[in-house]
Amino acid sequence: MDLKRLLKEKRDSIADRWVQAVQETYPHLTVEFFRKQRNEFANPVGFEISRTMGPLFDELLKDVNDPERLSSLIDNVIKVRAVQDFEPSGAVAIVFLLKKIIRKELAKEIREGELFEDLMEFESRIDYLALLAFDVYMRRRERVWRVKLNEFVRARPFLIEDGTGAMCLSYKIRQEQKQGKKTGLSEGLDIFGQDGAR
Amino acid sequence: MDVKVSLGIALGAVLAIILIAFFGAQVPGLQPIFGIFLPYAAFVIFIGGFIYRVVQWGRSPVPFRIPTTCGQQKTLPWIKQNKLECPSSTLGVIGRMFFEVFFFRSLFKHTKAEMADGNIIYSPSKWIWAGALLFHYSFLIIVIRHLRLFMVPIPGFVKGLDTLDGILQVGVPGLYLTDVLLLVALAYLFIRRLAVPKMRYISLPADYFPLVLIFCIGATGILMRYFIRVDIVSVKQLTVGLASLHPVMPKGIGVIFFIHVALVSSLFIYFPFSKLMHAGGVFLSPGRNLANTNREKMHVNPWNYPVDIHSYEDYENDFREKMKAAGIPVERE
Amino acid sequence: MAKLPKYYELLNIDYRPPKGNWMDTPVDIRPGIYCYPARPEVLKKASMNDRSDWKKYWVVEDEDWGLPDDWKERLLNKMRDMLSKYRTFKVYMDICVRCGACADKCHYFLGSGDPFNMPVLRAELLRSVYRGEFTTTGKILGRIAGARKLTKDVLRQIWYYMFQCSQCRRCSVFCPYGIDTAEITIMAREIMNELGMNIAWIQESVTKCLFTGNHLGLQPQTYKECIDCMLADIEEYVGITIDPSWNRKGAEILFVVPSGDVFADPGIFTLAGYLMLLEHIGLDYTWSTYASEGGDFGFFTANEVAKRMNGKIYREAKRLGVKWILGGECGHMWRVLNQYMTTWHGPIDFLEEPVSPITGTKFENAKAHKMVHISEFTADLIKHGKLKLDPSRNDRLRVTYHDSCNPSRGMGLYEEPRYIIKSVCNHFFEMPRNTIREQTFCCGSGSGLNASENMELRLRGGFPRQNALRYVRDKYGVNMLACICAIDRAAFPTAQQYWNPDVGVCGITELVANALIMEGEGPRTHNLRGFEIATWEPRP
Repeated sequence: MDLKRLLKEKRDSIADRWVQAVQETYPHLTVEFFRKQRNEFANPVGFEISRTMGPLFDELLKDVNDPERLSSLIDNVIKVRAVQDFEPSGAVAIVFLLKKIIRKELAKEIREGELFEDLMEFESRIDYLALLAFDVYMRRRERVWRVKLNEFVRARPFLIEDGTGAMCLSYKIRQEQKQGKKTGLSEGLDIFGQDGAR
Repeated sequence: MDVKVSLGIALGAVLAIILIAFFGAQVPGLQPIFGIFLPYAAFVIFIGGFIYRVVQWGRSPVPFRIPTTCGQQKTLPWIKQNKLECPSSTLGVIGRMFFEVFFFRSLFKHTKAEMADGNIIYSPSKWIWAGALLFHYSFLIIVIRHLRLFMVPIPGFVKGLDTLDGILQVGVPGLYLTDVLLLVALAYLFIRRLAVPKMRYISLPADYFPLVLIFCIGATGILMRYFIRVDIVSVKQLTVGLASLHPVMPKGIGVIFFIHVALVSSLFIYFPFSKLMHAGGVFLSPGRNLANTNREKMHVNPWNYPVDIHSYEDYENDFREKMKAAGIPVERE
Repeated sequence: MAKLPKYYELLNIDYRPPKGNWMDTPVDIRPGIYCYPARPEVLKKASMNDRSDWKKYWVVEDEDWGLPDDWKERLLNKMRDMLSKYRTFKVYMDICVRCGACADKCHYFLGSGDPFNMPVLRAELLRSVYRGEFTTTGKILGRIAGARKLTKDVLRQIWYYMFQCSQCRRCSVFCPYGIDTAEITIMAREIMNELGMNIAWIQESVTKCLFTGNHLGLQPQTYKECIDCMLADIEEYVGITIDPSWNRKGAEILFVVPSGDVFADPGIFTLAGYLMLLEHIGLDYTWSTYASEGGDFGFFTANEVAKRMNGKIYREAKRLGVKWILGGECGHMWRVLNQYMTTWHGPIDFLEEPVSPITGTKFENAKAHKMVHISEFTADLIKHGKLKLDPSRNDRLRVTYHDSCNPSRGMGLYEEPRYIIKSVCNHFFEMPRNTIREQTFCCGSGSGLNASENMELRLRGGFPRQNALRYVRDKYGVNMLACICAIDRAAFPTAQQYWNPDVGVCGITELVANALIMEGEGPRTHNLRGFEIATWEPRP
């Protein structure tokens, strides 16, 4: 008996548990909503989770893992978590939940069949997926900043000239927020001082 | 509010009412207080409070006409207007309110069966519509049925309703369908508040209390009818006396009756000061009861006042030279 | 540094699911979610409270905001005043039964999972204060009646969450009593405005608009220059020279658009569309630099400010002596125009009932208001066959239509835009039913929340819409999202760059203009964006 066959046998229950575990990283009353509301448009986040974890597990079970496919699958969930109230660790930690589930689900079989080597091999795959998840997360975060930048460029009227070059309004206020007072950057800056946009 | 505390408060309050009535009605001489004074007081408070609240709302102005438009507006003649969801006439508004009040149309809106993964899925919210409808109609029928206790002779429609409600002809005296449905609906509404995490999270004691209270009203009513019988002739003597403003206090009415009356009276007293006033408020909700005719007919704001609008003259003064240079006409050169 | 958690505990470290009473859950104000406060000098310029009486400069993430001593009294007085002025406010504070029908209808809740984004709880934040400060039962029973006093912590919570509502009114569709959370948010914002607690993105636009006539602060010559720029584009790609008139007295119609269309991509292409359409039919109309804004960010601050901003439109119509007014594609602009404008300034007896000079159609639904939506106007033109159209020029596009919240739920404009799109495009696909029409999802950036510093809020709030968009993209190959809202045109490109990077955004009039066969036009090999029609791949 090898571990992979065991995992394949228990595929559905493990995938379900994984979905459940990912859902449970949300506030408890949201978890319940994720589960009950089955319409994919009325419950987009719950839908992304439930359609992702199963195929992701299947992909891990293949002899050779395709990093492209793993990345694109995990992106379904990470793209959402990257803009929710998670710390980076919390956003990607969903991958490690699988280890816990497998160890728990197959504890007896692993102990009795002495499948520790297999387990280590499979867990390495999970670690690999975690690294990919980290890449995906970073790519998503980079994209958040890029769309912000794009917005500044598109919305030039909100760039303010202050004599030393273009300065964006949000940046200026951020400066003031940091120092807890007016920085003087905006002193002498009248909204009519700028000649419209050009 | 923590759910245990909320529940405790709601259950405790109802229990207190029951206990007060239980002991109070057994004290010699106090029966008229529970049988006559309390119902009268409750009735006056209910009517007075209800009117007061509605008048309060009615007197507050409606500065803007802001209905939620859930269908196509009245526009070009060849585009079909949705007269119910986006009414442009009083009749349309009446229609919209009718479906809202009698069929809880908005609540029904998101309850259609959906296809998902090839299976028909009913979203859980379907049940809230059914539960709410069941509860409200059962309650209404039970209230109407009770008219036979207050009227001599009993009007035909009350009798008819009575027959219809007992159509199952189970047991003696006949089982009322609405009695069962009321309790089932209430149990559902109650369990939903407890079992669904988001509902538990937003629920206040004020949400549990009326459910428990009405449940106990229903339960004592059923007890009285089927299990701990009370002398119906005496009861009718009392109720007709109350209705004809010549109250008498017959002897020998069981204590369960006084508990029932005390609970009902509590509901009446509580009603005007609580969320139960949605019964009146729904008619006054500007999100629903106005026609979408802002562009056709001017709506008047009673407290409208002039404001300082940056005038064209000031604007031209600010930019005259620039406007001239750009070839934009100006008033004063 | 915190102790290192076990690997499986990682998930519990950063998200604190609310436990116990929501009234005791302290608010965690997070960067990426809140918007920066309005600058005092900008508030002052608009004669609004500039926070000069605060004890320190307002830093949102600070524990102590430095509120003035009488902050509570002033807020409560304002609230009392609002309660006496608005039946909506009073009734909505009183009758909610917390049935939970609205709870999962908010795009911010769906995208964030934060329970305070459930409309019922958002409203309860204010309702609890109402009960605790204004009702007898609340004052006596306190917590038991769901009441609490207004404290600094409560104020933080209210401020944070009232600026996480885009006033899209989706929840109000499902409420059995028609309770409109948008209305509650509007009231809350106006109350907090009493202390100057507005956000920069809204206030900059408001102050600019009050004096320059438009949100962007474009001065008259710049405004004209922007449009000239588009005229040059039209000349290049369409081969037609257009010379519109400016502030012209005696024109038949005054044309007012959201200024967002005058500046940023892709709104400018909608603007080009207006120019071509109105030129083609030979409409006798004028632009105005004074009334150069249809939108009304004042609506997101206080009723009076909204009225001050909006007042210019009728004033300018009167000064120029036009017969009626035509309005461009914009969302909240039309909510304000439709539901507030005539009430503020009416009766409007100096204008005439709108009649299309091209088709003779009387716009009877605008009898008192004297203003017509460009989609109503265009649909009428197409119906009467006044436009020569070649929909095949839009054949590269597989279009879906986003019902912009305000024209949908605040006006009832559902069919006109669809009729227009179907007339000018051969490939039109609807998104799933529970995400369109009266159930449409917000772009995630409405009601003045399209600042950049709250990007995470906007992206996750936009996710439900983007999820439906992804569905039609995968199923039908949709590559263009059409809408009739300038905020949409500003917000969607951003949201799509994150969620659906291969779906573009456009206004409907841009589609019309691309299909429009104009007299004397050159070879139409390029669309208004300067791309070859035959090979164009739209991008956000």
